[in-house]
Amino acid sequence: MLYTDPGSGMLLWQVLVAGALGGLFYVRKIFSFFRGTGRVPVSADGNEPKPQE
Amino acid sequence: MSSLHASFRDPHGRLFQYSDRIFRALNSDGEASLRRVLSSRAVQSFIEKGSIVSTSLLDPKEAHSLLDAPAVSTLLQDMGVAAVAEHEKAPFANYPHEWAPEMLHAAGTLTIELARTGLPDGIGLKDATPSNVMFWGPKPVFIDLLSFEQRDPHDPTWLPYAQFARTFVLPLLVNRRYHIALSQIFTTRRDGLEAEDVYPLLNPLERIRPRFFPLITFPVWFGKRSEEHQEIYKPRRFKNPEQSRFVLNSFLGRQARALNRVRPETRLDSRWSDYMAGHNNYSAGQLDAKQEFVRRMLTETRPGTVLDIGCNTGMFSALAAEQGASVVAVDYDPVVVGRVWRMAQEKGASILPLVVNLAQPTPALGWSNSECRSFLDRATGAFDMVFMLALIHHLLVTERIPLPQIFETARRITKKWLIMEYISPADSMFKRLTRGRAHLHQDLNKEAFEIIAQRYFRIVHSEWLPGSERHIYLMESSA
Repeated sequence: MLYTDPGSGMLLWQVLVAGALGGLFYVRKIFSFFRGTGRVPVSADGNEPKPQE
Repeated sequence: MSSLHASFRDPHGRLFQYSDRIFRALNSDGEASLRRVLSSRAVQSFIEKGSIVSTSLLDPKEAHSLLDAPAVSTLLQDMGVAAVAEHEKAPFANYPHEWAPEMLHAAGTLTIELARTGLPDGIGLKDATPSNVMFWGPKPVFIDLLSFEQRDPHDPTWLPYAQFARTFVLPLLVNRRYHIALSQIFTTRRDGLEAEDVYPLLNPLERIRPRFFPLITFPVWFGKRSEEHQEIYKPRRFKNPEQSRFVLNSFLGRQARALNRVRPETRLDSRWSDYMAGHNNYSAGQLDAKQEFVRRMLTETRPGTVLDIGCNTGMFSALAAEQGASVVAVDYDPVVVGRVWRMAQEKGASILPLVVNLAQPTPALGWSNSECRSFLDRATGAFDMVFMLALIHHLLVTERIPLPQIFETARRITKKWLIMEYISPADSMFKRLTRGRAHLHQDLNKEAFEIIAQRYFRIVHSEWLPGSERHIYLMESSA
Protein backbone atom coordinates (compact mmCIF):
# COMPACT_ATOMS: atom_id res chain seq x y z
CA MET A 1 0.00 0.00 0.00
CA LEU A 2 1.58 3.25 -1.15
CA TYR A 3 1.68 5.97 1.48
CA THR A 4 4.79 7.91 0.56
CA ASP A 5 4.80 10.62 -2.11
CA PRO A 6 5.73 8.89 -5.40
CA GLY A 7 6.59 12.24 -7.01
CA SER A 8 5.21 13.13 -10.41
CA GLY A 9 8.20 13.83 -12.66
CA MET A 10 10.19 10.98 -11.11
CA LEU A 11 7.27 8.58 -11.52
CA LEU A 12 6.87 9.64 -15.15
CA TRP A 13 10.59 9.04 -15.71
CA GLN A 14 10.31 5.61 -14.16
CA VAL A 15 7.37 4.73 -16.41
CA LEU A 16 9.41 5.70 -19.47
CA VAL A 17 12.41 3.68 -18.28
CA ALA A 18 10.14 0.70 -17.50
CA GLY A 19 8.81 0.85 -21.06
CA ALA A 20 12.33 0.89 -22.52
CA LEU A 21 13.57 -1.90 -20.23
CA GLY A 22 10.42 -3.91 -20.96
CA GLY A 23 11.31 -3.76 -24.67
CA LEU A 24 14.91 -4.72 -23.86
CA PHE A 25 13.59 -7.80 -22.08
CA TYR A 26 12.12 -9.15 -25.33
CA VAL A 27 15.20 -8.15 -27.35
CA ARG A 28 17.31 -10.20 -24.96
CA LYS A 29 14.84 -13.06 -25.04
CA ILE A 30 15.08 -13.25 -28.83
CA PHE A 31 18.89 -12.96 -28.62
CA SER A 32 19.03 -15.73 -26.00
CA PHE A 33 16.75 -17.92 -28.16
CA PHE A 34 19.17 -17.71 -31.07
CA ARG A 35 22.13 -18.28 -28.78
CA GLY A 36 20.34 -21.36 -27.57
CA THR A 37 20.31 -20.55 -23.86
CA GLY A 38 16.60 -19.66 -23.76
CA ARG A 39 17.21 -17.73 -20.56
CA VAL A 40 17.05 -13.96 -19.96
CA PRO A 41 19.24 -12.50 -17.22
CA VAL A 42 17.18 -11.20 -14.33
CA SER A 43 18.30 -7.62 -14.95
CA ALA A 44 19.74 -5.53 -17.76
CA ASP A 45 23.12 -5.48 -16.02
CA GLY A 46 23.06 -9.27 -15.80
CA ASN A 47 23.03 -9.26 -11.99
CA GLU A 48 20.63 -11.48 -10.18
CA PRO A 49 19.40 -10.45 -6.74
CA LYS A 50 21.12 -12.49 -4.06
CA PRO A 51 18.64 -14.00 -1.63
CA GLN A 52 21.35 -15.38 0.63
CA GLU A 53 25.03 -14.81 1.23
CA MET B 1 6.20 5.56 27.67
CA SER B 2 6.64 7.57 24.48
CA SER B 3 5.69 7.21 20.84
CA LEU B 4 8.79 6.81 18.71
CA HIS B 5 9.97 7.53 15.18
CA ALA B 6 7.82 8.17 12.16
CA SER B 7 5.98 4.90 12.05
CA PHE B 8 2.55 6.38 12.71
CA ARG B 9 2.65 7.44 9.05
CA ASP B 10 2.30 3.81 8.03
CA PRO B 11 -1.40 2.90 8.31
CA HIS B 12 -0.48 -0.73 9.10
CA GLY B 13 1.16 -0.19 12.47
CA ARG B 14 2.49 2.06 15.17
CA LEU B 15 5.77 1.88 17.04
CA PHE B 16 6.06 2.61 20.73
CA GLN B 17 8.37 2.10 23.67
CA TYR B 18 7.14 0.58 26.91
CA SER B 19 9.17 -0.60 29.90
CA ASP B 20 12.36 -0.02 27.90
CA ARG B 21 11.17 -2.43 25.18
CA ILE B 22 10.25 -1.58 21.58
CA PHE B 23 6.85 -2.76 20.32
CA ARG B 24 4.89 -2.35 17.14
CA ALA B 25 1.10 -2.51 17.26
CA LEU B 26 -0.30 -3.96 14.02
CA ASN B 27 -3.73 -3.83 12.44
CA SER B 28 -4.96 -6.97 10.65
CA ASP B 29 -3.31 -6.02 7.33
CA GLY B 30 -0.10 -5.21 9.17
CA GLU B 31 -0.13 -8.54 10.96
CA ALA B 32 -0.69 -10.48 7.72
CA SER B 33 2.07 -8.50 6.04
CA LEU B 34 4.54 -9.05 8.90
CA ARG B 35 3.86 -12.80 9.01
CA ARG B 36 4.54 -13.05 5.25
CA VAL B 37 7.73 -11.02 5.57
CA LEU B 38 9.04 -13.07 8.49
CA SER B 39 8.50 -16.27 6.51
CA SER B 40 10.64 -15.01 3.62
CA ARG B 41 13.95 -16.83 3.27
CA ALA B 42 15.68 -13.65 2.11
CA VAL B 43 14.43 -11.63 5.08
CA GLN B 44 15.39 -14.40 7.51
CA SER B 45 18.94 -14.48 6.11
CA PHE B 46 19.26 -10.72 6.66
CA ILE B 47 17.92 -11.05 10.22
CA GLU B 48 20.51 -13.77 10.91
CA LYS B 49 23.26 -11.49 9.53
CA GLY B 50 22.04 -8.68 11.77
CA SER B 51 21.14 -6.39 8.84
CA ILE B 52 17.42 -6.48 9.68
CA VAL B 53 16.27 -5.96 13.26
CA SER B 54 15.37 -9.13 15.12
CA THR B 55 11.57 -9.25 15.48
CA SER B 56 9.02 -11.60 16.98
CA LEU B 57 5.23 -11.56 17.39
CA LEU B 58 4.05 -11.58 21.00
CA ASP B 59 1.78 -14.46 21.98
CA PRO B 60 -1.85 -13.28 22.30
CA LYS B 61 -1.83 -13.47 26.12
CA GLU B 62 1.23 -11.24 26.47
CA ALA B 63 -0.10 -8.88 23.78
CA HIS B 64 -3.43 -8.50 25.64
CA SER B 65 -1.78 -7.76 28.95
CA LEU B 66 0.41 -5.13 27.23
CA LEU B 67 -2.58 -3.57 25.47
CA ASP B 68 -4.48 -3.42 28.77
CA ALA B 69 -1.83 -1.17 30.32
CA PRO B 70 -3.53 2.26 30.62
CA ALA B 71 -0.78 4.23 28.85
CA VAL B 72 -0.70 1.76 25.95
CA SER B 73 -4.47 1.61 25.53
CA THR B 74 -4.62 5.44 25.45
CA LEU B 75 -1.89 5.60 22.81
CA LEU B 76 -3.58 3.01 20.59
CA GLN B 77 -7.23 3.88 21.26
CA ASP B 78 -7.89 4.97 17.66
CA MET B 79 -6.30 1.87 16.16
CA GLY B 80 -7.76 -1.62 15.76
CA VAL B 81 -4.87 -3.70 17.06
CA ALA B 82 -4.75 -7.28 15.77
CA ALA B 83 -1.27 -8.22 17.02
CA VAL B 84 1.86 -6.81 18.62
CA ALA B 85 5.43 -7.42 17.51
CA GLU B 86 8.55 -6.77 19.55
CA HIS B 87 11.80 -5.51 18.03
CA GLU B 88 15.29 -5.72 19.43
CA LYS B 89 16.18 -2.31 20.87
CA ALA B 90 19.01 -0.30 19.29
CA PRO B 91 21.87 0.19 21.78
CA PHE B 92 21.71 3.96 21.17
CA ALA B 93 19.00 5.51 19.00
CA ASN B 94 20.41 7.55 16.13
CA TYR B 95 18.93 9.47 13.21
CA PRO B 96 19.95 10.58 9.70
CA HIS B 97 20.48 14.20 10.83
CA GLU B 98 23.33 12.92 13.04
CA TRP B 99 25.01 10.68 10.48
CA ALA B 100 28.17 11.30 8.49
CA PRO B 101 27.61 11.15 4.71
CA GLU B 102 29.34 7.74 4.64
CA MET B 103 26.64 6.42 6.96
CA LEU B 104 23.80 7.74 4.79
CA HIS B 105 25.46 6.06 1.83
CA ALA B 106 25.71 2.76 3.72
CA ALA B 107 22.04 3.01 4.73
CA GLY B 108 21.07 3.64 1.10
CA THR B 109 23.14 0.68 -0.09
CA LEU B 110 21.39 -1.56 2.44
CA THR B 111 17.98 -0.24 1.32
CA ILE B 112 18.64 -1.05 -2.35
CA GLU B 113 20.12 -4.43 -1.45
CA LEU B 114 16.98 -5.33 0.51
CA ALA B 115 14.68 -4.09 -2.26
CA ARG B 116 16.51 -6.32 -4.78
CA THR B 117 16.93 -9.32 -2.53
CA GLY B 118 13.25 -9.63 -1.71
CA LEU B 119 12.25 -9.89 -5.38
CA PRO B 120 12.59 -13.69 -5.73
CA ASP B 121 10.29 -14.11 -2.71
CA GLY B 122 7.76 -11.67 -4.20
CA ILE B 123 8.54 -9.08 -1.54
CA GLY B 124 9.25 -5.42 -2.17
CA LEU B 125 9.85 -2.22 -0.22
CA LYS B 126 6.95 0.22 -0.07
CA ASP B 127 9.08 3.07 1.25
CA ALA B 128 12.77 3.91 1.03
CA THR B 129 13.87 6.42 3.61
CA PRO B 130 16.88 6.60 5.95
CA SER B 131 14.40 6.63 8.85
CA ASN B 132 14.03 2.88 8.20
CA VAL B 133 17.65 2.37 9.24
CA MET B 134 19.56 2.77 12.50
CA PHE B 135 23.19 2.06 13.23
CA TRP B 136 24.18 -0.59 15.76
CA GLY B 137 27.81 0.50 16.25
CA PRO B 138 29.05 1.12 12.70
CA LYS B 139 26.62 -1.39 11.17
CA PRO B 140 23.42 -0.22 9.44
CA VAL B 141 20.36 -2.20 10.51
CA PHE B 142 16.97 -2.04 8.79
CA ILE B 143 14.44 -1.46 11.57
CA ASP B 144 11.08 -1.13 9.84
CA LEU B 145 9.78 -4.55 8.83
CA LEU B 146 6.43 -3.06 7.84
CA SER B 147 8.23 -1.41 4.95
CA PHE B 148 8.27 -4.81 3.26
CA GLU B 149 5.16 -5.80 1.40
CA GLN B 150 3.92 -8.46 -0.95
CA ARG B 151 4.57 -7.21 -4.50
CA ASP B 152 2.20 -7.45 -7.40
CA PRO B 153 4.39 -9.68 -9.63
CA HIS B 154 3.13 -7.86 -12.75
CA ASP B 155 4.06 -4.38 -11.49
CA PRO B 156 7.34 -3.13 -13.08
CA THR B 157 7.60 0.11 -11.06
CA TRP B 158 9.26 0.86 -7.74
CA LEU B 159 7.03 3.51 -6.19
CA PRO B 160 9.46 4.57 -3.42
CA TYR B 161 11.95 5.62 -6.14
CA ALA B 162 11.16 9.33 -5.65
CA GLN B 163 11.56 9.00 -1.88
CA PHE B 164 14.86 7.17 -2.35
CA ALA B 165 16.10 10.01 -4.57
CA ARG B 166 14.87 12.69 -2.16
CA THR B 167 16.31 11.17 0.99
CA PHE B 168 19.48 9.41 -0.19
CA VAL B 169 20.76 10.42 -3.62
CA LEU B 170 20.02 14.16 -3.68
CA PRO B 171 21.28 14.87 -0.11
CA LEU B 172 24.49 12.95 -0.86
CA LEU B 173 24.85 14.79 -4.15
CA VAL B 174 24.58 18.28 -2.62
CA ASN B 175 26.81 17.20 0.25
CA ARG B 176 29.50 15.98 -2.13
CA ARG B 177 29.34 18.85 -4.63
CA TYR B 178 28.42 21.81 -2.43
CA HIS B 179 29.49 20.61 1.04
CA ILE B 180 26.04 21.17 2.52
CA ALA B 181 25.93 19.19 5.78
CA LEU B 182 23.33 16.45 6.14
CA SER B 183 22.31 17.95 9.49
CA GLN B 184 21.32 21.13 7.66
CA ILE B 185 19.13 19.12 5.31
CA PHE B 186 17.51 16.59 7.63
CA THR B 187 16.87 18.75 10.70
CA THR B 188 14.50 20.88 8.67
CA ARG B 189 13.37 18.41 5.98
CA ARG B 190 12.37 14.97 7.13
CA ASP B 191 11.75 13.87 3.55
CA GLY B 192 15.03 15.19 2.12
CA LEU B 193 15.43 17.36 -0.96
CA GLU B 194 13.19 17.80 -3.97
CA ALA B 195 14.67 18.00 -7.48
CA GLU B 196 13.43 21.61 -7.52
CA ASP B 197 15.72 22.40 -4.57
CA VAL B 198 18.82 21.17 -6.40
CA TYR B 199 18.01 22.35 -9.94
CA PRO B 200 19.00 26.03 -9.32
CA LEU B 201 22.42 24.90 -8.06
CA LEU B 202 23.33 23.36 -11.44
CA ASN B 203 24.57 25.40 -14.40
CA PRO B 204 22.74 25.02 -17.76
CA LEU B 205 25.22 22.50 -19.13
CA GLU B 206 25.12 20.36 -16.01
CA ARG B 207 21.34 20.22 -16.19
CA ILE B 208 21.49 18.16 -19.39
CA ARG B 209 24.31 15.87 -18.29
CA PRO B 210 23.14 12.21 -18.25
CA ARG B 211 23.80 11.83 -14.50
CA PHE B 212 21.65 14.85 -13.56
CA PHE B 213 18.98 14.86 -16.26
CA PRO B 214 16.82 11.94 -15.05
CA LEU B 215 17.30 12.74 -11.37
CA ILE B 216 16.86 16.52 -11.39
CA THR B 217 16.10 18.13 -14.74
CA PHE B 218 13.43 15.76 -16.06
CA PRO B 219 11.32 15.86 -12.84
CA VAL B 220 11.56 19.68 -12.79
CA TRP B 221 10.67 20.12 -16.46
CA PHE B 222 7.90 17.55 -16.65
CA GLY B 223 6.77 17.07 -13.04
CA LYS B 224 4.38 20.01 -12.84
CA ARG B 225 2.75 19.17 -16.18
CA SER B 226 2.22 15.52 -15.28
CA GLU B 227 0.79 16.41 -11.83
CA GLU B 228 -2.43 17.50 -13.55
CA HIS B 229 -2.92 14.02 -15.04
CA GLN B 230 -3.98 11.64 -12.29
CA GLU B 231 -3.64 8.64 -14.61
CA ILE B 232 0.14 8.59 -14.13
CA TYR B 233 -0.52 7.35 -10.59
CA LYS B 234 -2.52 4.33 -11.78
CA PRO B 235 -0.66 1.04 -11.24
CA ARG B 236 1.24 -0.26 -14.27
CA ARG B 237 1.10 -3.96 -15.06
CA PHE B 238 2.99 -6.09 -17.54
CA LYS B 239 1.36 -9.30 -18.68
CA ASN B 240 4.55 -11.26 -18.13
CA PRO B 241 5.75 -11.30 -14.46
CA GLU B 242 9.24 -12.34 -15.62
CA GLN B 243 9.39 -9.16 -17.68
CA SER B 244 8.31 -6.95 -14.78
CA ARG B 245 10.88 -8.57 -12.51
CA PHE B 246 13.58 -7.98 -15.13
CA VAL B 247 12.58 -4.31 -15.42
CA LEU B 248 12.40 -3.77 -11.68
CA ASN B 249 15.70 -5.44 -10.95
CA SER B 250 17.41 -3.48 -13.73
CA PHE B 251 15.92 -0.25 -12.36
CA LEU B 252 17.11 -1.02 -8.84
CA GLY B 253 20.57 -1.80 -10.23
CA ARG B 254 20.57 1.66 -11.80
CA GLN B 255 19.67 3.20 -8.45
CA ALA B 256 22.56 1.35 -6.81
CA ARG B 257 24.90 2.84 -9.42
CA ALA B 258 23.36 6.32 -8.99
CA LEU B 259 24.01 6.01 -5.26
CA ASN B 260 27.61 4.98 -5.85
CA ARG B 261 28.19 8.02 -8.06
CA VAL B 262 27.43 10.26 -5.06
CA ARG B 263 29.49 8.19 -2.61
CA PRO B 264 31.27 10.58 -0.19
CA GLU B 265 34.88 11.32 -1.00
CA THR B 266 37.30 9.60 1.34
CA ARG B 267 40.12 12.12 0.92
CA LEU B 268 38.17 15.08 2.20
CA ASP B 269 39.97 17.20 4.81
CA SER B 270 38.59 19.63 7.32
CA ARG B 271 40.06 21.99 9.91
CA TRP B 272 40.12 19.19 12.50
CA SER B 273 40.64 16.05 10.42
CA ASP B 274 44.45 16.11 10.78
CA TYR B 275 44.46 17.18 14.41
CA MET B 276 45.79 13.89 15.76
CA ALA B 277 48.17 13.40 12.82
CA GLY B 278 50.58 16.08 13.99
CA HIS B 279 48.52 19.29 13.83
CA ASN B 280 48.32 19.58 17.60
CA ASN B 281 50.64 20.53 20.41
CA TYR B 282 51.24 17.08 21.90
CA SER B 283 54.68 15.55 21.73
CA ALA B 284 54.77 11.81 21.03
CA GLY B 285 55.57 11.22 24.72
CA GLN B 286 52.62 13.29 25.93
CA LEU B 287 50.22 11.50 23.63
CA ASP B 288 51.57 8.14 24.81
CA ALA B 289 51.14 9.24 28.46
CA LYS B 290 47.58 10.32 27.77
CA GLN B 291 46.78 7.03 26.03
CA GLU B 292 48.39 5.06 28.82
CA PHE B 293 46.36 6.92 31.47
CA VAL B 294 43.08 6.32 29.59
CA ARG B 295 43.96 2.64 29.07
CA ARG B 296 44.73 2.18 32.77
CA MET B 297 41.51 3.88 33.85
CA LEU B 298 39.49 1.75 31.44
CA THR B 299 41.08 -1.38 32.86
CA GLU B 300 40.38 -0.21 36.40
CA THR B 301 36.75 0.83 35.87
CA ARG B 302 35.63 -1.58 33.08
CA PRO B 303 32.83 0.60 31.66
CA GLY B 304 30.26 -1.19 29.48
CA THR B 305 29.23 1.99 27.67
CA VAL B 306 31.34 5.05 26.87
CA LEU B 307 30.48 8.42 25.32
CA ASP B 308 33.51 10.09 23.71
CA ILE B 309 32.66 13.80 23.32
CA GLY B 310 34.82 15.60 20.75
CA CYS B 311 36.17 12.28 19.50
CA ASN B 312 38.20 13.71 16.58
CA THR B 313 39.86 10.73 14.85
CA GLY B 314 38.46 8.29 17.39
CA MET B 315 41.80 7.28 18.94
CA PHE B 316 40.36 7.06 22.45
CA SER B 317 37.04 5.60 21.26
CA ALA B 318 39.05 2.78 19.67
CA LEU B 319 40.92 2.29 22.95
CA ALA B 320 37.63 1.96 24.86
CA ALA B 321 36.18 -0.38 22.22
CA GLU B 322 39.31 -2.56 22.44
CA GLN B 323 38.65 -2.88 26.17
CA GLY B 324 35.15 -4.20 25.44
CA ALA B 325 33.08 -1.03 25.80
CA SER B 326 30.25 -0.10 23.48
CA VAL B 327 31.18 3.43 22.40
CA VAL B 328 29.24 6.38 21.04
CA ALA B 329 31.74 8.88 19.58
CA VAL B 330 30.49 12.39 18.83
CA ASP B 331 32.10 15.34 17.11
CA TYR B 332 30.63 18.33 15.32
CA ASP B 333 32.85 17.84 12.27
CA PRO B 334 31.20 15.45 9.75
CA VAL B 335 34.55 14.77 8.05
CA VAL B 336 36.16 13.35 11.19
CA VAL B 337 32.97 11.46 12.08
CA GLY B 338 33.04 9.89 8.61
CA ARG B 339 36.63 8.80 9.20
CA VAL B 340 35.78 7.29 12.58
CA TRP B 341 32.91 5.38 10.94
CA ARG B 342 35.24 3.98 8.24
CA MET B 343 37.82 3.05 10.89
CA ALA B 344 35.18 1.33 13.06
CA GLN B 345 33.81 -0.53 10.03
CA GLU B 346 37.24 -1.75 8.98
CA LYS B 347 38.19 -2.86 12.50
CA GLY B 348 34.72 -4.18 13.35
CA ALA B 349 34.93 -1.97 16.46
CA SER B 350 31.85 -1.33 18.57
CA ILE B 351 31.81 2.42 17.89
CA LEU B 352 28.80 4.46 16.80
CA PRO B 353 30.09 7.80 15.48
CA LEU B 354 27.61 10.68 15.29
CA VAL B 355 27.75 14.31 14.20
CA VAL B 356 26.77 16.09 17.40
CA ASN B 357 27.95 19.41 18.83
CA LEU B 358 27.66 19.29 22.62
CA ALA B 359 27.33 23.08 22.70
CA GLN B 360 24.35 22.85 20.35
CA PRO B 361 23.10 19.29 20.80
CA THR B 362 20.65 17.73 18.36
CA PRO B 363 17.15 18.91 19.29
CA ALA B 364 14.01 16.80 19.44
CA LEU B 365 12.47 16.70 15.97
CA GLY B 366 9.40 15.67 14.04
CA TRP B 367 5.71 15.95 14.79
CA SER B 368 5.16 17.43 18.26
CA ASN B 369 8.94 17.12 18.68
CA SER B 370 8.32 13.50 19.59
CA GLU B 371 9.44 11.47 16.57
CA CYS B 372 13.19 11.86 17.13
CA ARG B 373 14.40 12.41 20.68
CA SER B 374 17.00 15.07 21.44
CA PHE B 375 20.59 13.96 21.90
CA LEU B 376 20.69 14.94 25.58
CA ASP B 377 17.44 13.11 26.26
CA ARG B 378 18.94 9.91 24.80
CA ALA B 379 22.31 10.44 26.44
CA THR B 380 21.10 11.25 29.96
CA GLY B 381 22.22 8.46 32.29
CA ALA B 382 23.03 6.25 29.30
CA PHE B 383 26.80 5.88 29.74
CA ASP B 384 29.03 4.32 32.38
CA MET B 385 31.83 6.65 31.39
CA VAL B 386 32.21 9.95 29.52
CA PHE B 387 35.40 11.16 27.84
CA MET B 388 36.00 14.90 27.57
CA LEU B 389 39.50 14.91 26.19
CA ALA B 390 41.05 18.04 24.67
CA LEU B 391 37.58 19.55 24.79
CA ILE B 392 37.09 22.05 27.58
CA HIS B 393 39.02 24.91 25.94
CA HIS B 394 36.63 24.67 22.97
CA LEU B 395 33.62 24.83 25.29
CA LEU B 396 35.06 27.55 27.55
CA VAL B 397 36.56 29.81 24.90
CA THR B 398 34.80 29.21 21.59
CA GLU B 399 31.36 28.37 22.93
CA ARG B 400 31.56 30.50 26.11
CA ILE B 401 30.08 27.78 28.33
CA PRO B 402 30.92 28.31 32.04
CA LEU B 403 32.91 25.49 33.68
CA PRO B 404 30.21 24.58 36.27
CA GLN B 405 27.72 24.02 33.45
CA ILE B 406 30.17 21.75 31.63
CA PHE B 407 30.47 19.59 34.76
CA GLU B 408 26.72 19.67 35.29
CA THR B 409 26.11 18.30 31.78
CA ALA B 410 28.84 15.67 32.20
CA ARG B 411 27.23 14.51 35.45
CA ARG B 412 23.84 14.35 33.77
CA ILE B 413 25.18 12.06 31.04
CA THR B 414 27.46 9.73 32.94
CA LYS B 415 26.22 7.09 35.34
CA LYS B 416 29.54 7.05 37.14
CA TRP B 417 32.85 7.95 35.51
CA LEU B 418 34.31 10.98 33.74
CA ILE B 419 37.75 11.20 32.15
CA MET B 420 38.49 14.86 31.59
CA GLU B 421 41.52 16.75 30.40
CA TYR B 422 42.27 20.10 32.01
CA ILE B 423 43.91 22.56 29.64
CA SER B 424 45.52 25.62 31.18
CA PRO B 425 45.07 29.08 29.61
CA ALA B 426 48.88 28.97 29.15
CA ASP B 427 48.50 26.09 26.67
CA SER B 428 49.23 27.09 23.07
CA MET B 429 45.95 25.65 21.73
CA PHE B 430 44.02 27.49 24.44
CA LYS B 431 45.79 30.73 23.51
CA ARG B 432 45.09 30.18 19.84
CA LEU B 433 41.37 30.00 20.56
CA THR B 434 41.24 33.05 22.85
CA ARG B 435 42.22 35.50 20.07
CA GLY B 436 42.84 38.46 22.32
CA ARG B 437 40.28 37.47 24.95
CA ALA B 438 42.70 35.91 27.45
CA HIS B 439 41.40 38.26 30.18
CA LEU B 440 38.12 36.33 30.18
CA HIS B 441 39.96 33.26 31.54
CA GLN B 442 42.49 34.90 33.87
CA ASP B 443 40.93 33.21 36.93
CA LEU B 444 41.17 29.72 35.47
CA ASN B 445 43.93 27.57 36.88
CA LYS B 446 44.31 23.96 37.99
CA GLU B 447 43.22 24.67 41.57
CA ALA B 448 40.09 26.58 40.50
CA PHE B 449 39.31 23.78 38.03
CA GLU B 450 39.53 21.15 40.78
CA ILE B 451 37.40 23.16 43.22
CA ILE B 452 34.59 23.45 40.66
CA ALA B 453 35.03 19.80 39.59
CA GLN B 454 34.56 18.62 43.17
CA ARG B 455 31.12 20.20 43.38
CA TYR B 456 29.98 17.56 40.91
CA PHE B 457 32.56 14.77 40.97
CA ARG B 458 35.08 13.10 43.25
CA ILE B 459 38.59 13.21 41.81
CA VAL B 460 39.89 9.63 41.84
CA HIS B 461 43.13 9.95 39.87
CA SER B 462 44.96 12.77 38.15
CA GLU B 463 48.13 12.94 36.15
CA TRP B 464 50.20 15.69 34.58
CA LEU B 465 51.05 15.17 30.93
CA PRO B 466 54.83 15.77 31.16
CA GLY B 467 56.12 18.95 29.54
CA SER B 468 52.62 20.27 28.86
CA GLU B 469 50.05 22.65 30.36
CA ARG B 470 47.58 19.79 30.62
CA HIS B 471 46.37 17.42 33.35
CA ILE B 472 44.14 14.42 32.93
CA TYR B 473 41.64 13.24 35.53
CA LEU B 474 39.49 10.27 36.37
CA MET B 475 36.45 11.49 38.32
CA GLU B 476 33.51 9.70 39.89
CA SER B 477 30.04 11.26 39.85
CA SER B 478 28.83 12.46 43.23
CA ALA B 479 25.17 12.27 42.13
